[in-house]
Amino acid sequence: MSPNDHFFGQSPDQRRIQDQQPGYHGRYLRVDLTRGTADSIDWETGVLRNFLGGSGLGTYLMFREGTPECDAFDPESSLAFVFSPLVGSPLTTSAKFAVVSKSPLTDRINDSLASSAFAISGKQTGHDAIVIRGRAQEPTVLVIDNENVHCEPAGELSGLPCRSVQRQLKQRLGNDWQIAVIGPAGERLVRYATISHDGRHAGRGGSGAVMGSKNLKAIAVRGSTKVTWSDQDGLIQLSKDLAARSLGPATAKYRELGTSENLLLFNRLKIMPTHNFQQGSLAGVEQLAPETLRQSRKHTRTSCAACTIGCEHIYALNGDPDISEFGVRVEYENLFALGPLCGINDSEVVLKASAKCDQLGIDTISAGGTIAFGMECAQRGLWNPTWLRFGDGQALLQALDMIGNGDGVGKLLAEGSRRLADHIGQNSIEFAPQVKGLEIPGYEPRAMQTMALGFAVGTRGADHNRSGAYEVDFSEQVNRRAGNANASALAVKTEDQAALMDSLILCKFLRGVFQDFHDEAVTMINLVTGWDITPTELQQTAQRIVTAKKLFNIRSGWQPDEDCLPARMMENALSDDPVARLSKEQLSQMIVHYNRTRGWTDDGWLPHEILKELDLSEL
Amino acid sequence: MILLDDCQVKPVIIELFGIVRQRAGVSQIEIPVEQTKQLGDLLEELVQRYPGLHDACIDGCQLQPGFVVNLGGQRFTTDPTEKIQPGDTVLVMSADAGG
Repeated sequence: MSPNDHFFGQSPDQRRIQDQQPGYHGRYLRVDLTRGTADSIDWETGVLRNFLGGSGLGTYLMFREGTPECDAFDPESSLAFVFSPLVGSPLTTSAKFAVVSKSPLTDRINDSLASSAFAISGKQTGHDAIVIRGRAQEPTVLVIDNENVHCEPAGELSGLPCRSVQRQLKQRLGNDWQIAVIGPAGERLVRYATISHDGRHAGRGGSGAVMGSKNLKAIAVRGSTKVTWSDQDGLIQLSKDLAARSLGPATAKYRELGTSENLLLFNRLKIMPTHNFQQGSLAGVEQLAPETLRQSRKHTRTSCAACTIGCEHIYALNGDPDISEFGVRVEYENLFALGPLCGINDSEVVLKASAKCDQLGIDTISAGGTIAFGMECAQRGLWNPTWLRFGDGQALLQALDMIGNGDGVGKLLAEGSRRLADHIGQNSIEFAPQVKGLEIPGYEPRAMQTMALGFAVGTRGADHNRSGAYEVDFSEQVNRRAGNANASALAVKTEDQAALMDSLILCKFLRGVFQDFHDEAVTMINLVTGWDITPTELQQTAQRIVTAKKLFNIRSGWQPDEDCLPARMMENALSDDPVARLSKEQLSQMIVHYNRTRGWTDDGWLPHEILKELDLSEL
Repeated sequence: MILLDDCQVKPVIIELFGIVRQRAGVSQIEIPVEQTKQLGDLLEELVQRYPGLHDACIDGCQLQPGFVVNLGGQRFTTDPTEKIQPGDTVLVMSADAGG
């Protein structure tokens, strides 16, 4: 494909507007960068109701448009940007999109979400999803202007950090465009590279590297095609009510301190992983707490597009004059991963490291986890870079630069902790902080054993977003350090709710607002679509989505022994909490109970009966 | 840390986190108890001393939805009849641990 090629989509006349399903356009756009084609494809009957949107619909597309056996970097592998029926509605937090592909980090399915106006504009191009296949011949920008699709050379954008790319493309195209970009890390195929828009990232699992493998530096979207709502008045009324509730005590944590409120509490409970998951607390971590940060730094708060909660807390680096230009978004996960996990409690270092990750376009959890693992290997004398040490902030910053530049050990660090462990050998895989290759977030599994189960069985790998099992550990329903069958059943419920929220798509920070999530969710969907979905049907939809992801993973080569935790976390108690101990047998029993609750075999395979029951036999 | 009363008995230590700390303006207090108390009684006493906790976190003798107590770093509870002994440590926090 050469630059400035034009593709041709269907004209609006060919769309059956009178039959259009409210909430949807009824079609998705498939762009093939190798062949230079763009086609609008109608959804098959029943797909939208079965999979809703976002993560669910994206999973379906991975079967229809990709082959699970493909390598993530294969040109035939698909990268899907998926919207939802709620995108563009007045419902708070609904401006979200899912990016779904095979992960180059895990070789399993990956869906990452981002919140921004890209979702709204992307859907207004007249498509419910945009699927990209093939590979451009040179670095390229894909431009989708309603039904007109073409490519332009990326040119001088190559190698630029995320923010610069977005700024320059807006200057080139105009301010009414929304642009998703990859940074230098995505171009270099760093396996945990992100896709960024307006400073927010579709973060985990390496979708930015998949985009980079297609020689795609950016996607620019602009559109004016809106969907209809089945009951506009009802939807507006519901939206007003939800917005009012979203400003109440259930979301106060996010408004006032943000997710970084977790830091001091987790340290106190010894559930905050430090030094590559060797301990659950770190001395001096108060320096990183939001309460301390705002005593000495400029701070501001902002929100995603179409969000009333406003959970984004931004802090200035020392000496930076303009927080709006140079401020750093702070969340618990980037504080933990670039701080205590690496043995660091210096706030300036952690904020600088976070800023580097943003500009390079890399996942902070995987970056911090891989570097922390490298630090331990170096400390133990298993790996050469002796300068890479726990607690050394300059070493952390240097390691991030090397990942971004592809220099020296940066090339190995860019591969993630599992592949780095494969390279180092010497049984280092036993303490590589990953599940299925995805680095573990900031919840110590031995001290939060329902979360441990969620990490082990998650189709994306170790993930606190696809499993909300930490909610269970933070309740009186279980003993967080003695996981059992009851914990398994509760973990399934949180996973199902997450699957629904990621497919509707709504922000999980809203979950405390709902009196009965399923009742309220069906009301939302039915007001938008005119369907008559019931809570029971919605619960089955959740099971379908989770099972479909598992089916994709099985086709990609999943084996039961992948559902596990690193050997370090099996049998060995936390050094600063001797009661926090999880045995292999205990985890195995929890996994069996989890699988049985889902209707799967004890080992996690999918019986034909469950595929038929969930209408997945055709996939 | 704030000592509410000059008393010989072993106090209950209450640690506050996040929004709860923001509303109260303190991170830790000691409440003297002469004998076993119920959690609900402690919560009522907290609100009397720190009225800012009322709308945000505590309603009378109960925690507002979305808040939870941890006993001594071990287990979680919201039960206002939970027995609290002199010398116990009670952590009050948001139940939402989303990160």
